[in-house]
Amino acid sequence: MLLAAIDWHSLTFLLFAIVACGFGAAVLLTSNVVRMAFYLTLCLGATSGLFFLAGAQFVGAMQLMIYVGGTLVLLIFGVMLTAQARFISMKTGAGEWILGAIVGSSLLLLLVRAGFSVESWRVPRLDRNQLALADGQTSTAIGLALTSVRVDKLNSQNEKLKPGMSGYLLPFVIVSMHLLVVLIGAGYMARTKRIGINRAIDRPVAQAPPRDRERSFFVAAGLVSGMIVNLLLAVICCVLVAKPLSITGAAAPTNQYVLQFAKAIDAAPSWLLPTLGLLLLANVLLLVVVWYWQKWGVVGLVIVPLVMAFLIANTGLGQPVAVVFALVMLVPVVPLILLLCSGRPTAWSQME
Amino acid sequence: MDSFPPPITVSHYLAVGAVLFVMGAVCMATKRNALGVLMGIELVLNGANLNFVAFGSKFLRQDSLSLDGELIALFVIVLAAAEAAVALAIALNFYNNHTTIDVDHADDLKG
Repeated sequence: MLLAAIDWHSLTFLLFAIVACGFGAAVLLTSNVVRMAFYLTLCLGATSGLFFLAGAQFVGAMQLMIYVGGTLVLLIFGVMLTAQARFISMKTGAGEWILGAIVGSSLLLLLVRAGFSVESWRVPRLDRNQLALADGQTSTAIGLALTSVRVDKLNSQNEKLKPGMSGYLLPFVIVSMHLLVVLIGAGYMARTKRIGINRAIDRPVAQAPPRDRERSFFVAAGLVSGMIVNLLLAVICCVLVAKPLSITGAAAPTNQYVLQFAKAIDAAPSWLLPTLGLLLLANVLLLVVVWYWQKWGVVGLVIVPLVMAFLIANTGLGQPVAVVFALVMLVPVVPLILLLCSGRPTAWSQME
Repeated sequence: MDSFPPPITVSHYLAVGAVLFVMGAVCMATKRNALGVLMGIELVLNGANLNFVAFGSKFLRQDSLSLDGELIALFVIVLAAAEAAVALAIALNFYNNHTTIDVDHADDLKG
């Protein structure tokens, strides 16, 4: 009988293989993107049929559900969202076709030759008719393998394969995290921020170009002198730290006020002078900041003397000294602010 | 008695996988529509997947990869879904910003 001679497994494989390859070629050959999406659906559906024929029923079902049902629907949505008349059909140049055909045919030849070159791949399993259909039901084993239990290798005779029984828990966790990240990332990237007809790169820059900002002579002089004075005071602080004034002995200062000053410094805790020096240096930096048109530099110039006064008030020097110190430091700031707010246009209005 | 189509082997699956792979690769190289390039990627991944399943199939070969092939095929399917989602988001972003989907116009980074 002719019908009895037909191997239905092979015949069905042939059918699915022809459908898959034919519609795969159709995806390549058509230039209409809507038709490409449709052909791809049929091609992937036929591929899932091949999975079923290979005994991988769970993978075939997943192929239908995730790939054909999910991924391709996503692609078709992409096609619909971008389906303007001029993008539906985009022709490829003849030169690219020729180049692609040459490269593709040589790659195909290589891969098919390689696929038929191994002896054990070419020989069919002889006792395949004895295999039960239930051998293809692997979903339980796959689920257990994803939780790190390999039920299919429990009877493995090969000792070298025993370490490979550890399952796929780590890849499963990694792919879960990957999916989560991809979900968030895709949602973030696909937000609609339609700009209209203007291309984003052609839009005029929203910021006005920086104007030529005038710095009046008095402001510049005030800033420079402030830098110099602060720098000098910082240097004095450093010198006093490195080489303390002696209040006794032959080198003791004879002037009464200098002697009091030296005694006061000697009574202060040892961290005070270095801290004051650093704060004075910070003042210099803040003046540089103001020089480069940043408003927060002025705020810093007010804050630093207050910090210094607070520090001094907490030492043995006493609060009157702290107040006087702060006033001495703050007095130059006031004319600086006045200078900044005078003139036209005021320097303050030009600052950022 | 020989059956009419000869019994299928791993090599037949590899041949089908090779055809899908090559079609996808040429599709990626020649299509000008960004979504066409994406479809080429899907074809390539399916060709590779077919090979994994064929090597893992008990019905085609005595000493198969058994479950490993199917598990890797599943991971490939999941990763393909993730890849399609991200690539589609990028393509839509490109379309929103440039009002074109032609990958030949995506040359803003050309030095």
